[in-house]
Amino acid sequence: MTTPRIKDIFIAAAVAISTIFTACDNGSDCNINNVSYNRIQLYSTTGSSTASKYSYPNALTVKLVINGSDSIVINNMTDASELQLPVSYTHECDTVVFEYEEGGTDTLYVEHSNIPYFISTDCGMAMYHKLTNLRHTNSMIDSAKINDPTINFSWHENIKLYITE
Amino acid sequence: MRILNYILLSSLLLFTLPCATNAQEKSDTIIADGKLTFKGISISADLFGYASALLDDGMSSEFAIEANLGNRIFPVIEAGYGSIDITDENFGIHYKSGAPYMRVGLNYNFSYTKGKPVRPNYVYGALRFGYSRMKYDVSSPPIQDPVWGGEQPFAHSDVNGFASWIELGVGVSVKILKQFRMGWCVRYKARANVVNSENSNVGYIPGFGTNRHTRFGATYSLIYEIPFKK
Repeated sequence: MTTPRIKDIFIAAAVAISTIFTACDNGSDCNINNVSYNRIQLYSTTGSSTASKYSYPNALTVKLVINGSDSIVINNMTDASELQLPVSYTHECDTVVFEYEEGGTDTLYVEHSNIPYFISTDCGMAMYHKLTNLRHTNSMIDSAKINDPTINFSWHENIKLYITE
Repeated sequence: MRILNYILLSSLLLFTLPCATNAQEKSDTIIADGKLTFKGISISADLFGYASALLDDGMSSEFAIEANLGNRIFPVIEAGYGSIDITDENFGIHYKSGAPYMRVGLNYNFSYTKGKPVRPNYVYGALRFGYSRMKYDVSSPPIQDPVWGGEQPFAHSDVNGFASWIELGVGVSVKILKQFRMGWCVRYKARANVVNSENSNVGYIPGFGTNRHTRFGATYSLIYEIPFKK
């Protein structure tokens, strides 16, 4: 009686484990363009825990200062609430300029380290980053906080940017 | 190609030899008593690990020691050394690693039926837990910044990694000579844990293969049963 029971348990375990692991296996994990982004979420009030997410109702233009000159990455976006910005691979401080429709600008200095990363021989290389510090001007930005310093392919809210309404 | 030919030829042997050995074994038939008494130890060498290099999946040398408990359950320890040295054609990434690995587990004889003669050739199920602690070198052409321009070099040596996995398989074991057996085992491998470094994923896991969630693998073993006297 025990022989078929052990056999059945073995087969059942084999089927169950292979099903679970096959379900978890999504084949290749390659990211499409191997670029990781700094994700910034806008909030309406200063650093309190009750701060609510905020959409800037007017046109917002975001520029990166690249090798001394401005380069537009977001052009006249309305209802902006979440921004995804590329991060420099070789510099350790990126300068981000916010231009508001009603006039005025803010500059956000994003300090970070760069982590060149081997993913796999199938997927190639990537550049990940770790946020180390933030500085900013105060035209409309009330404060800025690093929420999650890790910038990689996974979705992280990296920076909380508190806007004065 | 020569290795593949050997494997194919010996596979044919695997299915033709049972007829010969069955006739030979009839004189000393053992009846399955259902007890898990110690019946002996066998040692084996895996030949398939050498062929896996043809699949760009590293190469491994592997030996195993197996205890026979009542011709039904066979606790096994497998130990080997796996290595890889590849340069990827698409990205120009060079990856080199070599490290020992170990698996522990058991085989269960599916052909065993209490009260019936123990068959010299049998089909079995295999369960293993494997692990490997490895070091590797990885380098690539400089990474180009698509927005700011410029590039970052990438080369790391003696990076530490660790991985563990589970294997489930089905195999065939066939008696070919008095103390010698031969066997195939096809295995489904599922990665349980992997410890990557700050700058890289583990690319190759000795004993498992290329680092993915799951893989299929196989062993083709030549087994020697150490003579055992009660």
